[in-house]
Amino acid sequence: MAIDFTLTKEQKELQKMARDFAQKVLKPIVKEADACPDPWKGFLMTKKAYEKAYELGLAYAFVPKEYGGAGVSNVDTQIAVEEICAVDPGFGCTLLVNGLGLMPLIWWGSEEQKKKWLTKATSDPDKDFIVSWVVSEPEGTANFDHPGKHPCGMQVTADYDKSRGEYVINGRKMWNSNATGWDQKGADINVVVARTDRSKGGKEGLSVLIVPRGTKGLRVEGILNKLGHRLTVQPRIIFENCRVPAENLIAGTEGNGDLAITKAFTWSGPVAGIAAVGVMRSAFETSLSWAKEYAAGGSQPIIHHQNVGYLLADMKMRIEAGRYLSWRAAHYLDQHDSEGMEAGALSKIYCGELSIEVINDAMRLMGINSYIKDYPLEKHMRDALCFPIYDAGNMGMQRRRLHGIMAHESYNPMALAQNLRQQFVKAMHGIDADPGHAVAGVTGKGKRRECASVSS
Amino acid sequence: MRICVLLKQVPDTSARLQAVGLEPLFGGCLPVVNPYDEFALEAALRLRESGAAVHPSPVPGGPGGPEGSCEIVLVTLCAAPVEEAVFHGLAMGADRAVVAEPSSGARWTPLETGRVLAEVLKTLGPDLVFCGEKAADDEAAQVGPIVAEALGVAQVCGVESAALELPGPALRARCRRGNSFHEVSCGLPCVATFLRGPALPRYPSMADIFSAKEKPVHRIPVSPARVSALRRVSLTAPPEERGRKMIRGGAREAAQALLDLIDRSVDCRA
Repeated sequence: MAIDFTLTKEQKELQKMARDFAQKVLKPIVKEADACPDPWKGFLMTKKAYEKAYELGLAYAFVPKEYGGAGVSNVDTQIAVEEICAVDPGFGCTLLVNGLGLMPLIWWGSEEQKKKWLTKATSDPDKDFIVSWVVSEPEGTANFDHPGKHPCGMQVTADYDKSRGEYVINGRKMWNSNATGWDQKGADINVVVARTDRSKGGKEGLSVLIVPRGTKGLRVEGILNKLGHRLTVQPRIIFENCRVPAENLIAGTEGNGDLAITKAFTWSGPVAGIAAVGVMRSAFETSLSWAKEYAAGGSQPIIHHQNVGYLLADMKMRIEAGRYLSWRAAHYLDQHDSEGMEAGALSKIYCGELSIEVINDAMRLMGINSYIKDYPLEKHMRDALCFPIYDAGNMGMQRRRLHGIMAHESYNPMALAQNLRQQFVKAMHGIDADPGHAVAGVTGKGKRRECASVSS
Repeated sequence: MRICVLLKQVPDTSARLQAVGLEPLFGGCLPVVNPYDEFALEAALRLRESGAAVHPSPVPGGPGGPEGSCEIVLVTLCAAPVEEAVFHGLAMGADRAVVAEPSSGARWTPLETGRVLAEVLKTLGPDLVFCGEKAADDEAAQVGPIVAEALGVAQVCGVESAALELPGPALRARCRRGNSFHEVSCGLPCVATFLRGPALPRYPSMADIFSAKEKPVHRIPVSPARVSALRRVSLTAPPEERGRKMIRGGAREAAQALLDLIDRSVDCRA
């Protein structure tokens, strides 16, 4: 059994580089950008840091080497993301979404599409190339796999105009990080999930299309003003007869948009998990330092009180547990071509929800001072509150995915522990979308276990 | 042309020392490249990038690197672990590394370290040897001058930035002497020892990091020429400095206590 948490030389160097970047380039802008009342201006304050991240390869590290990326593993990504998110998870989110958008292209794109779009992303002389993953919609996204035809599930449509060989996209999207680009004309690449067949349900009718910046009919409006994660930007997007050539449909996603959504949000699960770990870690360090220096009017710093020491111990053990679950989930994804839908969801849910508990403990330890903006804990809490509800929310999408996987007849509860590949299949989708209706392939259809009789 | 950069791995400069017996312990802290050596490596990389350092080697009989190129070689004595430092140097942009590995557990003083490094350098035939003015752990500031002496070449100290003068070639260096700056010119080969300059060491990119493991690291056994007479007889950690001081009492007393604290800190700096 090879369990070894020792970082390699490359990972140590990567950790140092990401930490130096986060502390010396990103940190100086965080306080002002976070406090900026205009979320658009706050986002623009991050541009120079983004350009530096691009230059260092952090923005497209996940892209395979043959297309100009660093081809790093999911585990390597964990190392860098924790360092960045320990300083600001909003900026980390901007980088993460580049991956959410481009990974479906890496998994399902044709060679020609990969060469065209991935190489463009990694060779931008302006160093500000940005990608958006345009999935979420104002009417809701969780039931993207609803078996009903349009207008159930995803509302945005992409109708094929055979005469011109183009898809015509119509509808509204919302919450799509990076979709403003740097000038509100759209991200350089907007990777859009849309219903390409109105007659089919979410498991057959969705596809993924690439809409380049400046495409006529794509309009950005209404930047969302959020509680936390203020260094990243999310707008409302409107598609009005927005035409893209048929070749912009990512080859293997035709009718498989549902799988693209699930796999992309699986890939991002451990990334969001370790982002939460980064924020928890910062909160812990703040409260530890406070406990060693603040006496609360007593004769000794409060760390000499048992209650404080035990609270710190409880925080630390949960942070470490979260970190290793995320690492393990990332490792499982590396081993199985990102087919780790269970592992990804587990780490995302656990760490995101844990972060709120841990930061709450940090605030209890620090007392009322933690509630003012002179100290970092209030920002950590505002940032952490996002973790359970963004990046495919823990209730609507992540737990639902786990429900679908566990209810399926092929589910092996030991697959993760034994590192066995657990292939995600469409039959695992659609559960809970139509409450009370069974889904084909799900255990229990047509058979029911009786309660064991109790003998007296 | 070949530039050799001497590298030392030191404990994180912000780490607190724990004195246990006669050996310093830096538990739980990450090792780093001696910051002054990092400035020296950055200067070497910039010299290469300037395009000036591509002429044939002026070192008689020395390999000097292939014509039209500038090779940067890290040279280090592995009396303590150096893996992270060497890898960081390669990721920053050095082409290869030579690690001198002691065959015994002898104590390495600056004198012995400098002599052994000079022997290694003789086999490499560098046009330039760059290193930090001193190491952040022992602050001895001796290795650079000892290497220059053992190689029989000139040394330029206190360098903040350097360029190559052509024709010549010569090293043109801006050096700090107290509160003044001096521009000096020195024929090659020579040794230059660096302080913190305006050019901050670069961050290696992801691609640099993941290609560094492909770069060659040669290990050669070495032993000190003699047993050093230098012995450590005691080791104590500096008194703990708390980042925060609580001043109690009324306004007048508190103000006086604050003034006393400021006075004491000024005295310390003087």
